Amino acid sequence: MTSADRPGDAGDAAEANPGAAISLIGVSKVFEVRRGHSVTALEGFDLRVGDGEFVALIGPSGCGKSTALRLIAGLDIPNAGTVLNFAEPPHKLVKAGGIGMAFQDHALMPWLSVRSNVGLPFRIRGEAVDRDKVNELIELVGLTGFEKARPKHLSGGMRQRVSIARALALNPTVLLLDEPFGALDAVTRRALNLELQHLWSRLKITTVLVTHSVEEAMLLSDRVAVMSQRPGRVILERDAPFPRPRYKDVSQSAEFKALHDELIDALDSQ
Amino acid sequence: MRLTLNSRISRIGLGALGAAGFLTLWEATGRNGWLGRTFPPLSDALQAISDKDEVIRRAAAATLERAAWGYLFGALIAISLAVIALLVPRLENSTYTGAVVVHAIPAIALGPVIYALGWTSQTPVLFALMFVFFTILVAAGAGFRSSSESANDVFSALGSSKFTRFRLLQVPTAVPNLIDGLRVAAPAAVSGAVLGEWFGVERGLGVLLLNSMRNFQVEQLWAVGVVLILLAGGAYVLLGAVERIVERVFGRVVAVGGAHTDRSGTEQGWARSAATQLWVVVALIACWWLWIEIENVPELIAPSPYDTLQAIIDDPGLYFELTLVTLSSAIGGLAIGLFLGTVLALISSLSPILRNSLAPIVVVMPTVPIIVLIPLIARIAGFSQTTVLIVAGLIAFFPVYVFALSGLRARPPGADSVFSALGSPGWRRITFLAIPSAVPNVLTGIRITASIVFLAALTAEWLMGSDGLGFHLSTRRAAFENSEAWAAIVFAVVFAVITYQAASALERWGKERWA
Repeated sequence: MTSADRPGDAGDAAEANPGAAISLIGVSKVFEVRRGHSVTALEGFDLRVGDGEFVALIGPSGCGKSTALRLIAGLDIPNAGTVLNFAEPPHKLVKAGGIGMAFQDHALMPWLSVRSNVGLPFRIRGEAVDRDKVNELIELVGLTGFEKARPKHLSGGMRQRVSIARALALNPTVLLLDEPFGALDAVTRRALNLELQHLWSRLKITTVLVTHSVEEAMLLSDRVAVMSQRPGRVILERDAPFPRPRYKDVSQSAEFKALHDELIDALDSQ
Repeated sequence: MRLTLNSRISRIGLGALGAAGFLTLWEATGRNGWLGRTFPPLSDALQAISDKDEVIRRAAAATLERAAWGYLFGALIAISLAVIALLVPRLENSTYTGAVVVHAIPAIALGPVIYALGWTSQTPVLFALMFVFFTILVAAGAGFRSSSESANDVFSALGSSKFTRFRLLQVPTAVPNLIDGLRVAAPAAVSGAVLGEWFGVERGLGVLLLNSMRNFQVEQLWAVGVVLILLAGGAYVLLGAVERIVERVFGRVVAVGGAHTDRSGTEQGWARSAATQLWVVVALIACWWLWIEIENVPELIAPSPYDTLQAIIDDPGLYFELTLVTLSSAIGGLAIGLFLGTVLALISSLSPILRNSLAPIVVVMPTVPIIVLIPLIARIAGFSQTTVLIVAGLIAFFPVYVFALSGLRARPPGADSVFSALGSPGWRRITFLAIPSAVPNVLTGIRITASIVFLAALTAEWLMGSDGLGFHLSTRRAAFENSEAWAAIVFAVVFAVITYQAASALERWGKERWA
């Protein structure tokens, strides 16, 4: 990873607190829906993500997976508990531009070309757009030749690639993926899973992936955390110790199937 | 059969047929005198345009210039307010609530106020401004807020400043909605300018219209009417072309059915917006009082709030009676428009032939400045409260038809299959599915129409009625009884705001219940 040149970056903080890039300790988050009506999204939520680790978060619909991600990104503030990125409150990392985020609905700007969308984070932070970096990322996600296309001319899978390239534009120290492939068909989804694997193996960024798919979680991550129904907390954590790259043969192994069953059981047990 | 009806060619064919039918009907009605001598055939009106070419062209130039200035200032003020409300969230609620109050104030009631301020020559510009301001404000406000939550998160997660978010996200997202608002507002600027010209300026289509009405120059009256329709429609079409280009770059307009009302959806929001509205009214009265006191305005020009209150106290029953007359015309017209619009929408939703034939008329009608065509309608229906009712009905009819039709056709996804699978007969599908799903849309149509219908009733009474607040306003003013005239203005403003709020409440209730 080439992030050492960014100010306030991971480097020294990570050394001071080795192995804990992200930590959420006893976190609660309550949303006021209407006057007098509130929903507890998270309660007693604990999660630690090591530096350079890929953690997948799975759980039933509405269990607060996305809320956890938003807390890490500093988009929401917890009602109780602590959220730390490299031993500092989340807004520090946000200020340093150290967070890359991608969403299910891709959130691309329809009036910008692929190249401008990928370069947008530079402009948001008031920096000069690093054209080489943008071109490199477009190549990395396999969209060379589509630089001038606008989002509406791209397929769903291609839009997600642009979205991921954008998330990587500033060499983030933390990558947050909120069901990035949730809206894609099964074939495209498998193809993008493979590509994300390759990408991640090259970059080794600390990553948290929220997904509905147990198989996707196991194929991509180092560790899978299963969440309970709302109010959400982590009820099971399992390492996914399969050697990378993980192709079809890995997912057909007995160990893979056993872990798959265990995670499914944990999801179904609620 | 079904296939050919839905194909593009047959749609266009039916549309052309419908338009041709409409024009033929117009011509025949005039030729045979079915609506009396005051309804000339289309060809005579067109002939009159070329006969009076020079006069009409000069009048049109004057009117267009005023409309353009009003439009420009209105757009500037509206966009600035929307930006302020966006960047200073504390001001958001008061801005929109205040704008709702100002929007509900019938322009015609402000004619005497503008006169008293000594701005009479600018009345057309000010009216045009008032007519476009609210539409553009709502469109801009909705546009700024139409960016998706995740797009906003992208900016937050990168620690974006408020201004960067505004520049790179909110402004580009707002463009399609804003252009749409600008397009819809364009014909209204023409209406506003013409209405303003009735308050005494030298030249303009409005002046020509009134003079033709008074002098019984029927062909010229209709010639000016046709020119006005063409001008308003032309402005609309021109901006429609701009909109299509913009859409190609920035994406489609996000549909927002009056976003400003959603703000007061909760109990708390409601009480707060009512408080803000009261505040706006108090501020207006305070300004009025201060102006009278500081400028030492004589009563012959404008009465003080005290004198006006005295006039009301002297005969409170009169003002409530007058209000009742105006409100009855407005509500009666609304009811007629509602009934006819809904029935026609229902028939259209069942008959593709009728729907497609009416399509071109439906496209053109929103741009027709009915309110400034009151002199034409008065010539046909007489100078009475009947005309007031007809005007209000005509104004309510088309919005209701358009909203009802789209409501009748927009059923919950999959609902039709449920009815088919149960072997339900067609009429049951209408009563149990189509009508309930159209209710919220029709109520939106009513809310949008409410203040313009009230304004129309007031204007019609003012021009040629025999009763009501508008009539009282014009006769008292002619008799220099300013306190009485301003008392009518106060009642008109207050009840216009109440009418609009009632319509909004009805819409909120309907959306809660049916959508």
